[in-house]
Amino acid sequence: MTPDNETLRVKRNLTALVEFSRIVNSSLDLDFTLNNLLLSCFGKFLTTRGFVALMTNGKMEIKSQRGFSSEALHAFPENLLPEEIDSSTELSEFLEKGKCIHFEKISSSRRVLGFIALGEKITKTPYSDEEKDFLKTIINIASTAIENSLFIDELKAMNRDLDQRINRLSSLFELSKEFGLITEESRISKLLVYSMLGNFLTSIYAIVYFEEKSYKILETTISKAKLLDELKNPELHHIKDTIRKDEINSKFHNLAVMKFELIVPMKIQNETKGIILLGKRINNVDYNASDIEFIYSVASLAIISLENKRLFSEALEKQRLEEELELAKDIQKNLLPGELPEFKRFDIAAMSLSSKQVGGDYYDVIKNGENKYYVTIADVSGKGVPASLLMANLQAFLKSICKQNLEIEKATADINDLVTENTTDGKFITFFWCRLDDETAALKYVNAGHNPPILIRDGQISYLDKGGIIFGVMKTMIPYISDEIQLKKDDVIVLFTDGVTEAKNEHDDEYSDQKLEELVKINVTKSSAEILNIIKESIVQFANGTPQSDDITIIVIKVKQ
Amino acid sequence: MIVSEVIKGGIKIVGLNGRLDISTQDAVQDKINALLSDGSAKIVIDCSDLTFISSAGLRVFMSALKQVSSVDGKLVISNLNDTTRKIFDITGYDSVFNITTSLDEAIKQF
Repeated sequence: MTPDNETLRVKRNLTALVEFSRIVNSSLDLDFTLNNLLLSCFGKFLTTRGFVALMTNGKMEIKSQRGFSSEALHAFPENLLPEEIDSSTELSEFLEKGKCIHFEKISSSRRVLGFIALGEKITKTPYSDEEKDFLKTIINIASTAIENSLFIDELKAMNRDLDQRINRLSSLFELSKEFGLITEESRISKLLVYSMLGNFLTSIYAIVYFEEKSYKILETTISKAKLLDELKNPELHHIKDTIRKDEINSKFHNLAVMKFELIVPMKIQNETKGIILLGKRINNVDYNASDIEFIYSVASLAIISLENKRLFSEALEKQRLEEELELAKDIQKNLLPGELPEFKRFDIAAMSLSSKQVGGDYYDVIKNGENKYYVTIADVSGKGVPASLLMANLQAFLKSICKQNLEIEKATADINDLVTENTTDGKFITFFWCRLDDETAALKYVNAGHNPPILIRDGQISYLDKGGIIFGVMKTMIPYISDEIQLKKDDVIVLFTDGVTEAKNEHDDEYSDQKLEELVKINVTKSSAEILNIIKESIVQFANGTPQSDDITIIVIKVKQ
Repeated sequence: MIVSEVIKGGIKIVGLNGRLDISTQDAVQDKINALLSDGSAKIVIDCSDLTFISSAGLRVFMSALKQVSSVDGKLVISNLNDTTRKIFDITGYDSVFNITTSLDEAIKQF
């Protein structure tokens, strides 16, 4: 070779290099750069086979190639690490099979990016040292462009990811506003479903809400019965973390059969309150970490909304109960006599204290003709509004029966029949009444299963216990019997309900009949109002602030003259 | 409240132990329902260890009596103690229930 030829050849090489440099550096498109690199090599070395492999996403991937079948490419060792390029037998086997006789690493100033491999030349001659140097040179030129392109691709991917995150954040923001506004369970679960479907394109889903001791399937695309069977598995109720395909398959195989691929718990303060089950996505892509994060966030919003709704209903229910109790209290208050009549022979005082739950205590003093009065005390079983309504019925029966001027035994039997006809589900009334004659101080009474009132005469106690069965359990078959007592000055009768003798203190002890009897005996000389007040004070002191479960009603009758 | 059950010669003996009130009524009611479910209604309620009957408890007794009567069966109450006997007396239950002082006597009623 003459020096002139040599100069010419170097000049050509230099021109080619400059041209190559200009082309590859003018573009940030990786494919363009790699194709140019390969084609330049093919042109220079007269070969028709070759490929460029680069490390991307942690894998060695063939990014550009000529002359390989897709089958042949399949055998490429993707797990190859940059530092293994020189030593890997897998790679050398692949190169041998692909008839690549030379390869060169592509490195930037910081790292090994990958390598280029080239097939044999048409001339069948090996690559000369000079050719190898030329290859190194153009690789050096291309490596910067390759690294830049890789960066760009990574940036693009990151941007896509960021865009998706921004989208999801803004949809979370929108969802949080919506979840805050709706209070119906069905709408909450629908919103949850739509947000899942919109983001993940799946046609299989279920949403389950755990309530106290039970669970509710809010939404499902598969048979509720089948899903209910699976929900019997207690492990499903204590899921703390997301469960993916493989774990579903091993732990909840039947759910995997139903094609569920993801289970996300809905938690409040680390307590699992529900689960979201999602199936395969239509585009066959697996759920990635950011998908799960999104589902988790939406789930949290939904479950808070569901819990709020539940707490709200509970508060409403509580308010409704309280209103009902107020109503019961009102009915009861209106049924009790406001002011008692004035008597010639008697001094009468009465009071009734409602318990918190409002029981069914009732008392009344009904005028029945000239100088005749019925004094009544009763305890309706049950509490609240139902007891108050039965009590109102009783009062109506009493008022109409009194007008008929029947004998007290017959009147009692008639009231029992009316009460029995008008009560269901085992409600009943304990009832006592007596007719007082304000002229003669005669007393006639019937006791229908009520705590016997006590009569204190000359320090002795006797019980007014003649009568018959309580009201409401059966129609009168055995006639009620009555008893008559001619009262005399200073006799005291105390009528009461079991709320008095069964009043409880903090140790759950009962106030007891004995205590009441002793107290009345000691205070028998006092006025009826004073005796009543003493009993009341004594019970209050005994109870020592313990809330009472039953109403407390007391009537004290004292014979004045 | 402990509710026990013994069957002797076709007679079902329900033993009640403790207080029969609003908190225990369901257990007793359920037991009686279960015993009546086979159509035979010869029942003795043994109250030897029953310490108290509240109004809710009274309801259980009356409902048992009604159930048994509706299928032509028979209900006998045995071994009431002083407290529970007093409750039966005050409420007039003594006039509608078949009450005996011993289990042997109760079984003889059938």
